[in-house]
Amino acid sequence: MKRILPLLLALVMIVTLFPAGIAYADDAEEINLRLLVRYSDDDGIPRINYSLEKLKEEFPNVNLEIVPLAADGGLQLRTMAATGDMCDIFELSGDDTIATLAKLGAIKDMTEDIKACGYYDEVFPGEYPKMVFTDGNIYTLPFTGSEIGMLFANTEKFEEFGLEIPRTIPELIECAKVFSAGGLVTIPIFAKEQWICNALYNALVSRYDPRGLDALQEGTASVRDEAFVKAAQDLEALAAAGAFGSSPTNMAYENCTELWYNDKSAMFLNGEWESDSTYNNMGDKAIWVPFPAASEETYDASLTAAFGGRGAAGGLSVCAWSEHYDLCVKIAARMAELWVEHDYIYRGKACFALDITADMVQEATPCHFMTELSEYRPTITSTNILSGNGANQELYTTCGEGTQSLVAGVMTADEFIESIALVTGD
Amino acid sequence: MKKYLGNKLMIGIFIMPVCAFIAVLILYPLFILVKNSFTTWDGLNPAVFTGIANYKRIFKDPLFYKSLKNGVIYAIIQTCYQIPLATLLAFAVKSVTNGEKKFFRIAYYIPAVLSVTVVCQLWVRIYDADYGLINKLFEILGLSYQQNWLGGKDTAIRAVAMVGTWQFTGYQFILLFSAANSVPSDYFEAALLDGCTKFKAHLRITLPLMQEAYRYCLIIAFTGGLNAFATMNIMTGGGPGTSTYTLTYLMYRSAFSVNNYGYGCTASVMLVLQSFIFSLIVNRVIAREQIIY
Repeated sequence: MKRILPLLLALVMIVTLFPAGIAYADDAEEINLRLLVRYSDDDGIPRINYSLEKLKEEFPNVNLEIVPLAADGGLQLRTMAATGDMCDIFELSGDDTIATLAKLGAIKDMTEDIKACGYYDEVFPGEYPKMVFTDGNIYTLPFTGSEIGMLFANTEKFEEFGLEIPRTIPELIECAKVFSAGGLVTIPIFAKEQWICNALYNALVSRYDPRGLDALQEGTASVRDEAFVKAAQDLEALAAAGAFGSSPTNMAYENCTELWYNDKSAMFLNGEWESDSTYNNMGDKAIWVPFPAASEETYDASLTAAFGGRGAAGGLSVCAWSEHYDLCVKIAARMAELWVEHDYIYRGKACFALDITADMVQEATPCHFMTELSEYRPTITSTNILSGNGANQELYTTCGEGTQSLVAGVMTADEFIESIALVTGD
Repeated sequence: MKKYLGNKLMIGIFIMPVCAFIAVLILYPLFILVKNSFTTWDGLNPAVFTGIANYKRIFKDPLFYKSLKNGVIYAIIQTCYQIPLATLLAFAVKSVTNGEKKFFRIAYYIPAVLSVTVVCQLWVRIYDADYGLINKLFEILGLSYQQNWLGGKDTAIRAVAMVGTWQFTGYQFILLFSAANSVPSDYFEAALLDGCTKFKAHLRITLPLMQEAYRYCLIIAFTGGLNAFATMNIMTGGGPGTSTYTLTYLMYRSAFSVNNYGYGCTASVMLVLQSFIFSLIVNRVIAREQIIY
């Protein structure tokens, strides 16, 4: 026993020092690449598995090892870059992260490479902002299109309370008062996440100024402008009317969908990626309604002013330090195509950055929201970035904190405007 | 003894590992932290020296004062609840039988070894405004004191601080219990023989003899409060808005949300200074002289 214990201890120490085990020399033919992707939910896993299967057929000598990407605002990627341990191919988004990685030399312009492999010509010109970064270079290969925000309504609940679907913001506030008095949450907001609070504020701002929060990010508007002040006041009034329930900041997405899918709320706000789940869980009683206009006079103009619908650069990217850079670009471009292929054929989705679906036959029947979206998209007259995330991270973060406070009812519209003005210098 | 103390080389050799340890793990990171606090840095590319710009900014930043205030609130709540409660528990457990002592020691210490995530998730449920245990209890008792504990502007930081307090009271209890046990019983028994009550004997004899333990407990309770991060990160994410921001959260926000690591380092320097000043004060005021029984 006296000898076994030290031996065991030594063994444990040796094993933990070499967590990867003993590495054998790779076969000269084999190429091992690491892939940092969101491999964690029902949305990502099937499409990634599909693309890996297809890629194995097309690139038989390439082994792709998946490294799950955490939803941490780019922190994992930055840490990998700081330690020089970047994956060969990775999902990348966020202007600030892209700019930092580009400055570091961890990513480089892929324009010529993707022109050579044909990917460039497949991108819809309207989706170039998702591919071409603000400095004119291409660092990311998008696959989804620029999705818009959607407001859904449960028709049964409106009928039950004897209410009409609100056409204007004041009507929405009145509806919230009625629902709240009847113990029903009007719009459950998963305000634990700040981006959705920003998206709601952006939706309200865009009723007054179609540019939404983009105008603030670009510095072409002041937060003291009427659009931003009125939108903040509307948000404050909605919170005061009890539109978001008693503790919205404790609500995660799952808590909100629990309410929405089970008839415990009247409306729901999210991006268009929500439409599938809403349809599957609620059927025809859930409808997509236009976001209420500022007033009856602006109703028609408001119909075509989307909130969201403008993408910032994001998609698959390739590490400039990769030993197999050229091959990685080809694989990343092909992977983006396969992701589109999967989502179009098997999920019935319609919003993509790539124009490659014309000859494909869908196996999944698209829900009515997809058809409505396809009809709506050509009528859109203005778009903006859904959550207002732009190059100015300080502004985006402060805005998120402020809108979350407004939704929780712990801040006034005036305080919110002042907090933003401190960042923008207005 | 003189012979050993006269051998400077041996002294140097013996203390070298500890000095190297402190230099590598404390002094060098501290130096880097202070150095980076004078820069604008995105965490990846070379930092740009900006002099005292970050310090000028932090003293004008309302979020800094809010974070400072929240940190102090957290620390005060933690200290004011943990130490008296731990003292009461220590004296209570001291007076029970050995078998019971073992049980209570383990029972009170269990929260301290639980994962902070588990503890926070448990308390998130307890604090839930609609279905939480606390509000339901008030409802059953017919008291209209229901609150949105984690969603309120003023209640959130207090609610979060109580979680940290609950989790680590057991830790303080173990420290104070050990200290109370190390006090020789002769003094206590002599006082009882002289007609002193148990309460007074503890107050006049045991507590003063535990000064050094209290000094340590006070420092870890207060600086632990100032440095708290995990509880707010898990329970409120610093929210609603910035209601539960402390300096650690400001540091996290600056570095990882805004990607301004230089400003994050400045917030860290302020945190280090805050903790250092408090430790200095406590060391000056409490147990200045070593008590030998």
